[in-house]
Formats: sequence, structure tokens, C-alpha cells
Amino acid sequence: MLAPLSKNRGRMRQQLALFLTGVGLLLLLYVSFQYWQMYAAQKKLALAWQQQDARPANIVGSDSDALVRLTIAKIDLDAVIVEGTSRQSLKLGPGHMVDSAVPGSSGNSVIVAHRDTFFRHLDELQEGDGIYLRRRGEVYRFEVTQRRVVEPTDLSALRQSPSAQLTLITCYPTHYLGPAPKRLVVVARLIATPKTARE
Amino acid sequence: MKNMFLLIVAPLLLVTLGFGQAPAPSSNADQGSIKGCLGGSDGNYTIVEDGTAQTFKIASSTVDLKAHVGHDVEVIGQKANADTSSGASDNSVVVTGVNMISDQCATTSAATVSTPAVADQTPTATADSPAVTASTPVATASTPAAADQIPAATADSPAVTASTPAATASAPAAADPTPVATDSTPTAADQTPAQTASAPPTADPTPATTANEPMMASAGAPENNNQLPATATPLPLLGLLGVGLLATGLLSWKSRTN
Repeated sequence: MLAPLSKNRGRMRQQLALFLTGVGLLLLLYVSFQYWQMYAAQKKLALAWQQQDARPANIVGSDSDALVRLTIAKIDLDAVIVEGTSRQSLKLGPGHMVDSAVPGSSGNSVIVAHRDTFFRHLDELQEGDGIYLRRRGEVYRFEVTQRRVVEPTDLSALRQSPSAQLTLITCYPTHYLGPAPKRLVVVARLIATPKTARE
Repeated sequence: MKNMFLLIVAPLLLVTLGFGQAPAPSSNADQGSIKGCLGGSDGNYTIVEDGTAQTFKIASSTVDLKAHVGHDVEVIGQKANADTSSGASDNSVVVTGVNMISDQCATTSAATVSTPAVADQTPTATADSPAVTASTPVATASTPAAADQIPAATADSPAVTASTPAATASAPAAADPTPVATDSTPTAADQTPAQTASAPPTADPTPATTANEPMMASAGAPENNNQLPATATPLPLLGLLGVGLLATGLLSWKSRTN
């Protein structure tokens, strides 16, 4: 009587083990695929950006002449930004908020990215750290002037500014699992005249 | 044997489903979304873009637009005949999706707008409504998240920093064919000659770009969005969960075989 029961239990346990292993593998595959997708998109964008960067600046631009590369050496970030801050956009790269100023131009340009990918180490930035934007062969150098943690409802970071300003936003705490309760805002101002990368 | 079969087939099936759900990045730069007022009648719909007042003719649609006439909507689709030089055909869009924003048109009434003329491309918005006019959402392929109502481009869309010079310029600038917005990106929707290569300023650290000047007066906060964008993904959590499940499964398998 006991033997079949034990056998049954054993089989159930085996099936559970198989199920857990299968689901675990599946989740890992899914996560890997998502990261791979991001990596592939960035690679593709970087290629497009390079082609655009190699073109002489006096050629009338087309749509593809708008790619912007964001480089922050301190946190080892080098990514081409995408337009928009939708979930889909942020999967592929840091997203430029559509209604904010064009990166490098006067006004407040807002760039948002995931805290678990591109802006993972954004909280390590300090005042004075350099941020570079490269666009159409021009290099814009920004310097971090402010770093603050705000509530998600605090929209002051989106306010326009009279001068060229760059605002980077991500969730905070950056190592938080699940929806983080705050937002980290890093503000930088343009300190150097745009110059061509070839100079 | 049966278990092995299940073990192989079930994950494969789920992976296929997972891959199917993850939209591949679009390689079409003209794919995007347009937010504006939908007008016209059956088979001849038009959309007047919010802010820029540009009129787009809807060439064809896979969705029923009739119910949204007179509404403020966001249409998702592809620009048709983007390579042609004709102004009218440049503004044709093939719609693949529609999201209603409001049941009333916020700005220009599109109900009376028919086929767009080139003259219609001149933006009517001025510095008073700069936040809306600053960007032209032509390169959007993704559906914005609920909290993110602003159109966005995918990574493959080259118009990453899409900001239409003509759209942001005030009326005199729009009438002036000379280049006025040197630092903005021309987009497919932009048909004014104010598209030039960059001309970086030399002395002033602030670029002499005028394209976004009108934006300074108002907030850049997106419409219908009272929160900063959420930047969390469930991926790390899912990854941890996957590792945990895999470890648990393997351990219990091992203890079973022992």
C-alpha cells in the first residue's frame, strides 16, 4: 500500500523538478533575449551613427543625420539615444523625451534610461563629471551641476531652461528590485562650444 | 520518455510565444505615430497633427477609423511614398493602429480638412504653444506605454532627435525660406526648406539654435503625463526568478536521483 504511494510521490516530485527547471530555463532565455535585443539594437544604431558622423557636416541632413551618442566615461556609458521614453524605446537605449529640447541645443534636453541597463551607475556621477554628446560630427561637452532624488510626481526636472542643459533621469534606488519609488535626476550644463569631432 | 518530450516541447513552445510577443525593432525610418485630430469621411481620412498643424492623408488603414472621426487620436503606421517629392503624397500615411487620446479635438478641427496642400505645412503654432510644436513624431513605431503619451521612435528610426525646424519656428520663420534652424533634425514630415546642416556657433557655448527657443517659455512636460517616466524593467527580477527556479528544479532532480 505504501510502496505505490511513495512511487507516486516520487514521480510527482520528478515532474515538479522538470517543470521548475523548464520554467527557470525559459525565464533565463527570455531575459537573455531581451538583453540581446537591446545589444543588437545599440550595435545597429552605433553603426548608423558612425556612418552619419563620417559625413561632412555641410551636407544637408536627412532623417538619419539625427543620431546622438551619449558618452559618460566615468560610468562607462556609451550609447546611442533613441527618441521617446516609451517602454519599447527604453528597451533599446536611453530615450530622449520628445517634448524636450534637441540634445545639444538650447533648452532642457531630457534623456531617460533604465536603471538596470544604461543608467545603472548614474548615481555615481558627481558634480563636475563630464558628459559628452556627439551628433552630426559635433561634440557637446556637458558638466554635471546637480544631482538630486525626487518623487516621480515632481516634474521640475522637465522644465525648460534658457541655456543648453541636459537632464538625465532614471529610477532610484538604482539597485532596487521592482518598481523603484523615486527618481534620480542628474542635471548637466553645456560648457564647451560644439566642435567637430575631427578637430 | 513522455516527461522528456514535455520538457523539450513545453519550453520551446513558450520560447516561441515569448519571441513572438517581443516586437522586433523596426528598420523603417518612416514608421511612426502621429498625434492629432482625425477628420474626413469613409476612405478619405486626414489627421491634423497637434502642434504643427500638419495635415496627413491616411492612404489606407487596417483599423476602423470611422469611430474616431473628430477625436484627438494617435495613429500608428507608416509614411507612404516618402521618397517622392510631391508634397501631398509625402504626407500620406498607412495606418496600422489607432489610440484615442480624447473624444474631442484639442486644437484644429480636422473635420473640414481635405487633401493637404504644401501651404498647409506652414505651422500655425507659435511660441505660445512650444511644448507641443517642438517635435515631430514621425518616427514612432512603438506604442507608448500608458504613462507615456508622447510618440516615440524605435531604435532603428534614424530620426532620433527629431525636431522639426519649421514646426518650432514662428510664423515669420516659416515663411522665410532661408535656413533658420541649424541644429534641428529634418524629419520626413518636414517639408520646409529650413533644413540645413549644422552650423555650430563659435563663441557662445550655447548653440545658436533657434529651433527650440520657443520651448523655453513653457514646460517640456509631456501632455497627459503627471509623472516622470518609469525606468524599471522586470528583467532583473525575471532573471533572478529564472535562476532560482532552475536551481530549485535541478536540486530537487538531483535529490530525487540520489
